[in-house]
Amino acid sequence: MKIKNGLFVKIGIILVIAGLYIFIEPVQITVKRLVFMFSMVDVPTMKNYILSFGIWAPVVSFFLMVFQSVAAPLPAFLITFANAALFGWVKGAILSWTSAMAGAALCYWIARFYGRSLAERLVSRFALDEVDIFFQKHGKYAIFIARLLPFVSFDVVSYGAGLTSIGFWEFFLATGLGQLPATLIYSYVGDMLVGSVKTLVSGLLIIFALSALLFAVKKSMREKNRLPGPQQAGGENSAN
Amino acid sequence: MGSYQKAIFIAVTFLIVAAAIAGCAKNDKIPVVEKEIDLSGYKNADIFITPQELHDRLGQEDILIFDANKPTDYPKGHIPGAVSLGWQSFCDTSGKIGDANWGVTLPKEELKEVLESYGIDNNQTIVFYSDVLNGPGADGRYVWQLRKADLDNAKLLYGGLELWKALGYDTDTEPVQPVPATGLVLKDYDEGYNATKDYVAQNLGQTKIIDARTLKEYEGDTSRGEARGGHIPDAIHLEWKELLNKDATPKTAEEIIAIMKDKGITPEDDFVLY
Repeated sequence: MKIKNGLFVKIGIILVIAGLYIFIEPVQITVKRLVFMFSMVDVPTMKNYILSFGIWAPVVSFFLMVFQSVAAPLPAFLITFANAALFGWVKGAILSWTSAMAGAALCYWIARFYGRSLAERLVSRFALDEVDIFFQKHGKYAIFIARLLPFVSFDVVSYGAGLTSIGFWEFFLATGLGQLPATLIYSYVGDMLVGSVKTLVSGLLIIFALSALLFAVKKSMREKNRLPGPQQAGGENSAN
Repeated sequence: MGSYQKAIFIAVTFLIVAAAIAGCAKNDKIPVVEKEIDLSGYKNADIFITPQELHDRLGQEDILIFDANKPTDYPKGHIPGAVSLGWQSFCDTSGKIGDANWGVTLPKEELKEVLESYGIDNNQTIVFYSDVLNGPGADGRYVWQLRKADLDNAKLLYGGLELWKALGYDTDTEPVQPVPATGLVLKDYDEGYNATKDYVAQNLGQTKIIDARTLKEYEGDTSRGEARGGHIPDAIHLEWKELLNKDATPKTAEEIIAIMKDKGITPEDDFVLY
């Protein structure tokens, strides 16, 4: 009976969201426009959009960040840049960091609650498999490392983590710390020169350097305690 | 081996090596089409620059190249020296997407600043290109925007990136930064390039209107978040792709005139496109 109730809730939530999208036209139009806007990958456009909500701009920015987290392929750095340009780099960074945390937590819970099949639909099976391998390889540190590496998808990692045995608070902490350097650098760069690819590239390079350093440290640590290594942890990961 | 045989052996070896070198050298150049492109059939042929001419002028200081593909496609390969623009760089995107006039050309003074930040002045040849067959034709839009402001040196790459690649010309993956310029002079926009909403509404039923979008969009698709689906009353459907060949080059003037005639439009007609 308990399982049945759970199933009802699961299906119910999906139906409500699908219903909102299908039957309430403004919702559908807004979502389509947001996807189109994200696909432009243009910081000024994102900035203008957020700005147009006036006093509600920070709130809209927050929800945009959560939205892009759930819809995994949309790029988050657009919002981070726009936030920095609109609210200054310190406030912008705080806003970006908090909203990204909320988004990550939501992804984690979606994956935990609905399991692999839905997560696969929201990201892609291939991406999720890659993240699995990454988790198996790096065990506990996986999330922290993944957050530091600029080329690992933030959102896919969140979904992936929800499918493993990693506890929520452990996930939350690793995410919070891991995304801090990238958020700070992006915000600082975004505040100085919006849209300049040159500074973006150097920012990316800095992050990359930091991550590479950490990677090396981690690797040497693993080699030191080879015996209790993470190989055994591999089997238990395919939750669901 | 006698000395006679030796001499033949050496000669043959030499020939093979020479042939191989010649073969390689040829491969480096142009494998497919080498024939010159003939633009003489087009009335306004000066909007085009041929890939051959662009290739010859690559690296010269009097030419600027802009990539109008999606910014995410640009790093996968662009013409050497080309700067990425996306589609909206010369547009006003203040306010919300979907607001009235969101995405129209920037006013003259603002456009001047943006163009200067991309290194555009009145002396440059400015080339725009995209993967033509992918749409949505942002390269053509840029040429239109600049010519509207009297920059008649704005040109569209004939056959786009597709023909460029088919000719075996190089592409590059490194991003290119624009070098800002100063002193650009723009004229007031030639309003003959535009039809405003009011103009279209007033002339409904008199002016011919062509809907160049896909048939799905013409018939009401709203997958890009259009507030309402459908088309302007009496608009004729002629998808943009119908005027292109499979290799991304435009059809000949005669072919285009014939296609337009089928739709009830002659070169003398006044018509509005969207």
